Amino acid sequence: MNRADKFRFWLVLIVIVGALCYAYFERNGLNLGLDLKGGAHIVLQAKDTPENPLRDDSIDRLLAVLRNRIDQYGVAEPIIQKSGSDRIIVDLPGIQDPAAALELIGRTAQMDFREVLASTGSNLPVEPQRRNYDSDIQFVNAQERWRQEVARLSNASADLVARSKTVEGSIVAPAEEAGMFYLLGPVLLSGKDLDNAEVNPDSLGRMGVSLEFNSNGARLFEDATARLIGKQLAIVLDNVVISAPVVQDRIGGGRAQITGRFTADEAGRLAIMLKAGALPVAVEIAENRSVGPSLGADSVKQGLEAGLFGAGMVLVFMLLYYQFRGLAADLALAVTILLIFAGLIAFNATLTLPGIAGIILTLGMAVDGNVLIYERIREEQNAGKTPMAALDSGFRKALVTILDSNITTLIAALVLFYFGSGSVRGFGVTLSVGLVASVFANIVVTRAILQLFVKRGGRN
Amino acid sequence: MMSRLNLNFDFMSHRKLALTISLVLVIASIALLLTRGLNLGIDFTGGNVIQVEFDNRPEINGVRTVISGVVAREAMIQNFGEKGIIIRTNEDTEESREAVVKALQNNYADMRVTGFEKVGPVVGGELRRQAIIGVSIALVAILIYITLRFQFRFAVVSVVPLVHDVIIALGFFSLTQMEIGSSFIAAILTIVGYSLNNTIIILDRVRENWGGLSREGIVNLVNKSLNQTLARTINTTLTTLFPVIALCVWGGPVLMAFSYAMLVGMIAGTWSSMFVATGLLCEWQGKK
Repeated sequence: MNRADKFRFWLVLIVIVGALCYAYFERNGLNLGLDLKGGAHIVLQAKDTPENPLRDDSIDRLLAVLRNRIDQYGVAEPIIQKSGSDRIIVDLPGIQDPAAALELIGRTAQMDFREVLASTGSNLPVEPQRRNYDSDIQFVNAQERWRQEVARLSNASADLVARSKTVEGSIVAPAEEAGMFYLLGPVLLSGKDLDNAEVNPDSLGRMGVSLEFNSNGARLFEDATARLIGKQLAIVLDNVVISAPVVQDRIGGGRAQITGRFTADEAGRLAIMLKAGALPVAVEIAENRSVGPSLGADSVKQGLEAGLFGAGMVLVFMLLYYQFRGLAADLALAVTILLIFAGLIAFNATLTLPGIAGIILTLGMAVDGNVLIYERIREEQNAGKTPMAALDSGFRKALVTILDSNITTLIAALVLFYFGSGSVRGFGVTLSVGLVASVFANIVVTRAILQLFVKRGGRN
Repeated sequence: MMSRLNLNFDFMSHRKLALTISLVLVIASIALLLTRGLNLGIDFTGGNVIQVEFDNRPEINGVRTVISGVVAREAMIQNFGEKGIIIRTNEDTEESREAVVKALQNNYADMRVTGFEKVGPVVGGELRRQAIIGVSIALVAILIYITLRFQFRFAVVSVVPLVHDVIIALGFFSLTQMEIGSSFIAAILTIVGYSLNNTIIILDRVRENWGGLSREGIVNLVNKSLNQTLARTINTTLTTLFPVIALCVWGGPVLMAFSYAMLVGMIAGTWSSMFVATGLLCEWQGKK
């Protein structure tokens, strides 16, 4: 082996071991698309209506409202993202009741201000992790304390629910922090009474949020603050308490300021949620797809079966036609598959059904490089070169062709990625990753394997 | 070990026939597209698709009777898998879907909804635009790349077969009236990529042999290149067809249209790389 051969050999080993370790230890694993694991995919379109006209920040307000609601609903890994200027995509994986989800998402935001009558006090501390404790005994004690705290909070919130039945118009609402609940009095004023909310740092540079009420709101707010001096006033968006400032003084004139230990981000978030409640955005459902978990599982099974059959036929064909070199191609194909999955995990890509089809197709295309190389090597041997020389010049001549043909396909795949959406985009990612992985396997892995044997065996 | 093949087929003597066959197929496809049109799925048109499953699947006609009272326009009802039925309507409202589900529930106690899709008309139109823009940009980018790497003439003769393959795949779908969904766009672009791959490999060999142009003449040069790459063309076509056939047979109903688009596209792609791209190059070069 010369230096380039050695380098190639070690590169292959390092890449394989690296990809294996990465795929094994990366805890997030591969994301499955909604068409595979089941769930709801909903696209909301903001509607321009006389009561709720669209403005530049409508979508941001809508986004804030949706995050607020969906976080409370407790869906694992929801995806909520802007699409264009007036649309939002909501992906809720694994939900059992799409109708309830739709009800949750399609509603127009509702905000009101209420008096805080009581709360469960502290919010839930973080569950203890073993690695933060020196000994098992300390860890077990910490877990015990944590369980007691959970029990205390749950008793306290049950107590609030019981009390809410005795007070007319009262509700129990969760805080944004986990585990904390408020008992709230009747509605004092509603989102319609609020005109605007903005981040407004005070003269000392402390972050705050200023509120501006309309004339009706100003009057109601003055009455409320006069009565609640020293008490908490809760601002409730879609039944979640987003802020509960203590009233310092009677506030007239329709302008108020919430201060506290905000970071700029927190203040911005509160302001956008307040605006969302003040100027709700009406939505309509532009697209709604839901796949039950059983249909998803069937699709995965069929996709995998087809993939295994397809791969099996390719492996056998290569082995029969190219014999020893076919074995090298088969090994390279295995490396390609490994790299595709490691690549998909690394890019945090979502595997969809067309994505699986893309991988299956890549299997066929991946050995194309091997076929090209082997046919070239055969030509070189026919021209009278020694096995090693034929190998070198075969690889060199096939390389240009392989690169040209794969780069042109990669162009198509990248266009899919940039201009497609949803499953088409997923297909573009898998195809791109597959192309890069298969080129590497063709020109580096196959060559390393072949050279290893040509050298040791004298001839192939 | 490998046998030594010394092939010398005179492909290009039949180029006029091959080009005529392709032309006829393309014209027939366009005629089909204009007369029969395509069976566009709700991804493009907007509408509701409901997938349901039964323990004992009823006859489709029974289901049609149950639904006919609920939806205004004719619904498309098909068997899906072993126990399932798939219902498509052109009405793109949530209410319409709920009404259909309710009517089915009232009539079939063992029915379960396994999935549904609703696409509004706006999204559908956007997808169609996205598809056209995507394919056009891909084609232009490919033209530029090949012009840079080869020459403009090669770029043109490799893009013409792509258009040929896409039109024939569309014609096939018009003929069979299989439904076209958003994954069809992915299939079309893969066909483009695959056919291009084939064409590039043959043209790459033509480029390599280009030095002998004045001595051999374009027809012999192209024939030589085709024969030199023939073993590769056959083997790669087989290794790509295996997985596609597996997808057609075992891929399940969801991937059906995708798989068949790939199958037809790949056959057209292999044909067009071997005969259309090369045939056009011979004709064009011969004119000079």
